[in-house]
Amino acid sequence: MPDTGHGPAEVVLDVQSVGMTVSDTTILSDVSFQLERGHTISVVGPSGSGKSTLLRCLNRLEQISHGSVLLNGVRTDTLPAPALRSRIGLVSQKFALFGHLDALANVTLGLRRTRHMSKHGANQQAMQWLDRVGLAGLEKRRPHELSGGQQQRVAIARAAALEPDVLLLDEVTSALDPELVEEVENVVLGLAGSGTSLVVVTHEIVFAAKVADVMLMMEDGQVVEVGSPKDVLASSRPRSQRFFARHLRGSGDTVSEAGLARP
Amino acid sequence: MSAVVSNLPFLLNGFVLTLGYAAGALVFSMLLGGLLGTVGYAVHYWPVRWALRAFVGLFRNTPFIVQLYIWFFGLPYVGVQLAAPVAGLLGLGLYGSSYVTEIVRAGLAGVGREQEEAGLSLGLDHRDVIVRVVWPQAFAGMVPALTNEAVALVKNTSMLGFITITELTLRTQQTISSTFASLPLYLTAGAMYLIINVLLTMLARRLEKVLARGGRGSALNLESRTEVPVDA
Repeated sequence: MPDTGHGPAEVVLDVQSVGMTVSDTTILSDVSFQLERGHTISVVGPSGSGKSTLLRCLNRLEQISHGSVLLNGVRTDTLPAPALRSRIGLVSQKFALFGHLDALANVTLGLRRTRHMSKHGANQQAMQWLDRVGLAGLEKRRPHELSGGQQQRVAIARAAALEPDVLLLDEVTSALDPELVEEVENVVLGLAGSGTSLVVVTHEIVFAAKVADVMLMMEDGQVVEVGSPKDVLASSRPRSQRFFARHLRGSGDTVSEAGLARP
Repeated sequence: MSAVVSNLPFLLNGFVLTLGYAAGALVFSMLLGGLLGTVGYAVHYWPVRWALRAFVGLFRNTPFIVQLYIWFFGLPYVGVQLAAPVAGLLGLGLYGSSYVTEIVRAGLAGVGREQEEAGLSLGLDHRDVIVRVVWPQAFAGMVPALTNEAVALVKNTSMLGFITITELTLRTQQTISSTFASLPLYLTAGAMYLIINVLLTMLARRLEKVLARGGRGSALNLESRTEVPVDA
């Protein structure tokens, strides 16, 4: 666990019995977990299990039907949505960079409009973040002039530059070619190692185990496993075992290798 | 040809009038259509959507000439007499706006929900997302359709003669009635409309190229998502 300098158990995000129902269909059911400041939770599970919807509920792109989400002890439904979203950042699987802006302007837009920074200050902060994700020198490139991995790194820099309390990463490598996955994973590992509070949804089980302090597995809108990555991967639950076995077989790793804690 | 040469100043005055009405109606259509199209994209409140749908449906699905007659000859029936220039501009502007509203609404929607959500996820409010994220990327995609609408609008000014506005077509007909040189005069009028619309189209192409160089509209070309199939 990283030393965050904020005490051992300061809860930054408290998700309490969150549920979401659309036209009598239950999308999320009684989801609860706590994220401590500076820690990382990875969320795994089959497609359609509600992982992405959960993230979209946390920053209110979707409305929850019941339960509550607390950010630093404050119910998020009492905050204006723009203010909340600038404190809980979200990076989606589609990079969704703004095509009319270069990489630098993609990062500065949020700094200028939501943090009300000066142009000079925003540029400086954006350059630092682009440097941090390994894109120094490419700040004037437009999205179509960047590779998929580079675009996703700009998207991460764009969200992280706002220095939100929590950063939500929704399958940030799933739209990438295999050879580009590692560069983005390394950026996420860097963020996790530097004390950013992260919730990472991913299909990459080895990465999920490597990056997280706590691993959470979802199925049919419910949390079915929660614990350290090692414990979750060692679950005796048959459906969990099948899921992990199938995904680790694809990556050539074993459960015990994947369960290694983050360095 | 002498009929054309001797009446050229008269025809050119009509040409200038045509240009004036076309420019005025173009600004009217773009501003009103731009505003209503943006409202149609951004506002999901059903009475607003229905009102916009009714506006577009009404003005787009009835002939322009009928609308023009209503503004100029119909309204006096209920005690409202609009001056011909007012009826002309109003008629052209509202008719054009109904098309521009749909072009703008569809153009904004074409940018895609991902872009809107990416802006919202940064903490931008809806107004900022529309002004700074969606509009700049949508505009390049709208230019060809807006150009078509502008060209149609220039041609529709030829119907303003029906409500006594002495624009180019009416002056051409007046000249023919005294000179009987129908073919040279109609060809001259046609050439004048052609010049306006060719210039308009060239300007639009140039604008498209400038916008393309600026990377605007590239959101429309984003590759579709590669879904990784995972099942338990």
